[in-house]
Amino acid sequence: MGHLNEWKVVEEMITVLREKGIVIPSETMTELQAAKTLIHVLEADPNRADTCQEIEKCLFNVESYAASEGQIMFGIEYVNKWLTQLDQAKEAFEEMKEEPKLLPSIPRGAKWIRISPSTHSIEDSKKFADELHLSCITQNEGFLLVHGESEQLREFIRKMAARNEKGRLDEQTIHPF
Amino acid sequence: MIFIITSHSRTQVIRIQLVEKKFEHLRIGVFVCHCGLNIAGVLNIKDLVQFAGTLPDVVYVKDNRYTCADPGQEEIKKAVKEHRLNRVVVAACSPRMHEPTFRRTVSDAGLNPFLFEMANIREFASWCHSSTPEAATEKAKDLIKMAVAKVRLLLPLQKIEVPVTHKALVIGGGIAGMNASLDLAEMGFKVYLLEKGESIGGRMAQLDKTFPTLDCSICIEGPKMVDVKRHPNIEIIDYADLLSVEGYVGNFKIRIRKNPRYVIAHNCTGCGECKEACPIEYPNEWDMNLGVRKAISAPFDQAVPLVYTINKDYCIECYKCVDACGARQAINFEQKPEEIEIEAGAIIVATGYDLYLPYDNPLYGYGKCPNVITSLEFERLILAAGPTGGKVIRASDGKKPHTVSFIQCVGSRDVKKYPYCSNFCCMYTLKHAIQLKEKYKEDVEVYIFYMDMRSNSKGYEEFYQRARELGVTFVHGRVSRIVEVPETKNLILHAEDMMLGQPIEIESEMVVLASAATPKKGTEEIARILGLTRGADGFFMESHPKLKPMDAPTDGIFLAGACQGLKDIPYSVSQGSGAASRAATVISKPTWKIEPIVSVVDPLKCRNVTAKCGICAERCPHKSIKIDDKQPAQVITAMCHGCGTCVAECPANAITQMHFTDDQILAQIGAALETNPEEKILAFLCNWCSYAGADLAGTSRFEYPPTIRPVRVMCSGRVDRDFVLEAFRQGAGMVLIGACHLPYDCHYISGNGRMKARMEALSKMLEKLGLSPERLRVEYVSAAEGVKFAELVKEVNAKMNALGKDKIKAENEKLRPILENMLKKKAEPIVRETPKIASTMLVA
Repeated sequence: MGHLNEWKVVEEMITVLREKGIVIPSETMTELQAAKTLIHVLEADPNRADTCQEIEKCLFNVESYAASEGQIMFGIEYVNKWLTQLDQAKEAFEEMKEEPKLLPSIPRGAKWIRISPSTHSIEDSKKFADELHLSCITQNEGFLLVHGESEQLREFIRKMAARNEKGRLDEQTIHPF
Repeated sequence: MIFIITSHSRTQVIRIQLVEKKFEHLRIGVFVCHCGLNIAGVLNIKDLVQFAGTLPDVVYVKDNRYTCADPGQEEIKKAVKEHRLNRVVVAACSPRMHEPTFRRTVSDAGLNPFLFEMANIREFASWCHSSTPEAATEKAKDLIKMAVAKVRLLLPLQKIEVPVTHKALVIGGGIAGMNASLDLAEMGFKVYLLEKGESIGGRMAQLDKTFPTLDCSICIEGPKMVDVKRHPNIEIIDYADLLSVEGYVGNFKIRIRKNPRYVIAHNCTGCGECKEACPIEYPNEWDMNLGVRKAISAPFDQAVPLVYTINKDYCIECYKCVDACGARQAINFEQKPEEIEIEAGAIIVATGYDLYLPYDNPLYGYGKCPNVITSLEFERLILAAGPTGGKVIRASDGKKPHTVSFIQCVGSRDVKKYPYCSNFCCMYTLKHAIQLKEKYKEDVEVYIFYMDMRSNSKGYEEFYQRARELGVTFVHGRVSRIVEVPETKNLILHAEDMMLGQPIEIESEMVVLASAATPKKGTEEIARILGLTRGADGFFMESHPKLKPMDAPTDGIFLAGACQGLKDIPYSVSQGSGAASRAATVISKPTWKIEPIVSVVDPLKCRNVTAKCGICAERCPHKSIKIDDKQPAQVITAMCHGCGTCVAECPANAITQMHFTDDQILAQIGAALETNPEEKILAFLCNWCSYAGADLAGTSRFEYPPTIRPVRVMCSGRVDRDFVLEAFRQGAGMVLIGACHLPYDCHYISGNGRMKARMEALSKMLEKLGLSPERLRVEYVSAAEGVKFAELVKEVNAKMNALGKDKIKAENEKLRPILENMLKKKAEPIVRETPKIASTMLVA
């Protein structure tokens, strides 16, 4: 069963409704979050039928809300499209994402952060780290590990935040709208 | 002078007026019970009846076969009406048994139920002196005389009623707190569940499996967490701190600060797209810092509520999360802390525990040797959803260890660190050993170094056997040190095998320390806010370790789970349910009745008006006295438990304990010592332990000398030094104070400790004045120690006899003028301009 795929479709349905200005009832939001939590619980032991049933119940509650609201807002055809998408999601193979794993090279108790290469500020990060006498290690896949004294590390994050804010302000000046 | 207590529930103020009341013509009825032959088989009832008739203000005396039976009670009711009795004494069994029965009887007869007193002539006379019936009868006469002396001074009192808020607050969302919340919610009560962290679930959510069944922990707890979130009667207040609690049983006002997550909880769907976009990772405390989490994330996938949090300590404000969140619009960097106020009728504290990280123990190399880890770190390693995907690997080289040693009692059962047993370490170590053996089979050797293996619950011993069958090696002995091999980072354990009686060395590739569990960080603050006390081990103290294990000493506050003392999951779950039931006894009632045996401050005498005093507030074990500058002390009646410690501690004699006033107790002392005082032991016995112990001595028919004359007080903390001085002034042979055992048995937390300090000082002074030190004795007797009580009386009596009547008399003669002077000084009134209302007891 593609519970996570199904969840993603109903979550998208809720987001679309919210985008249209509909206030989503807190019970529906609770059901949506509960479904996600339970999906992760089921990952730990996929043989638990009771958890599986509970997930389906939560998802159905959200689905029925979204479908009825969606019908009022967008009409039956639009909702039918959603429902087809939902059916396909249920059947689809679910790909589990690998979470970040242990980093044995870091001493226990040391203060550190790791910066993803996706950020465009990796060079700046190295520069700030040097200025603050923090150590940098470039790891596999381009991750930058910065570690050192707690106060210096805090200052490093402050500098990065200030730089990002300045970047946003500059962009607003160039493209005010 | 009479106290009239009136209650105004709307204003919630109770006024105690000191009213001059001239001459109430006392008409006392005394009812002597035969109790079949239990009393009449030993005591001379006819003699007792005749004697009672000679006592002042006694207008009616009647004996009956069974006073507690319906005909006996009817006789009391009839006599009250026919003889216009306004005070009643029943000479029968222990007040601990039938006081409530006879209070109802006199109340049915139209009298105030507090105008009644019992003389315990069964447990204290016929049952414990059966071989000396004459002496027993003489003692019974004294007991009746003492009861009459007290009843003459009793005042009519009314129970105080306060309204109740039908809601509960549960502090702590671990397994105990969740269970308590669900039970209360199922009963139909609104529950606020306050959680300091980002998610409910507590320690159990961090575990891989639970012993002894090896269930997947999150698989059984996760659905429960979701049930809590989805329950319409439960409101989770997460990521929040308790700021203050005011009020009293049934009526607590609680202020809470909700900390900013920088994510709008209602808009967050838990999709995790923000987390994917976030470029920053930092050590995840949830994984014991072995894994990582993003600057915007939830601590674990199964978190409830599934709302993400931005950790501003690590956020570089790149706003990638804002872009990822998109139309959901759940990110709000401007979010501020928010203070809210809620009301609850009962509070359940279930704040859990922390784990000791043995950085300060150089013997085991934790923090220095990468392959020495704690058991919770091991738990995160072996967990399939953990940072290593369930692979047990060494931090030094990422390789699987082939020899793993577990060391028990690291910090626990260590007088230099935490002297107590952490309760669940033996079992979780067995679990880890079994998990390792089942996962890696012959490929791993497992050693457990232990002091004692404690497996004393259902299925636990079988679990231990299972570990043995799997080939786990148990070494009975403590590890004295661990040495790391620099090249391999392996660890050499030096220990003594007590079975072999010789030192051993074992080389391990990984060492797991079962470190002590400790009180949760912030326990001190919670204790301060709620006025709770903590034991020497730092965990919250219950009201009574045997009889009220879930009640905090403050009414309306209950304890559940490890915050009260370390316990495993099944026990925590049971205690959560138990605490919920206890809380329901409060919040299911429309109003809460408070016993009027409370303290009352006379503002005319209170020293705090003219000078900074506040001794009463400082010594009150229940924090029920409020002190403001230049104002008389105020008792918050609903919080007062009526121990009377403040009364005995007050340097200005400004406090009165209702129903146990100084005058009433002094009258009992006078009556007890009216004849042959130097041959008597005057004993002050606390209601809950030593009086109950004396009752048990009687019930068990343990005989002891009939020279003792007991005065019942609610707590030994009530025993004023003046009572002792007065007893010696009146010529008492010996004075005995019986209290609950130190330090934890006191029904009122610390009344016994206060009494001890007071009596130690008094004893020194009296000794200097020439009193033989053995004549004042403080002893601790529990409700279960009937034998001890009987032996104690025998011992004190023997000492009295050894001193001899003449010596006692001579000492008393020498002391009397000094004692009279001391007592006179204390009795002098303080004259001051007086406010119109004499005293105000605060309820709110």
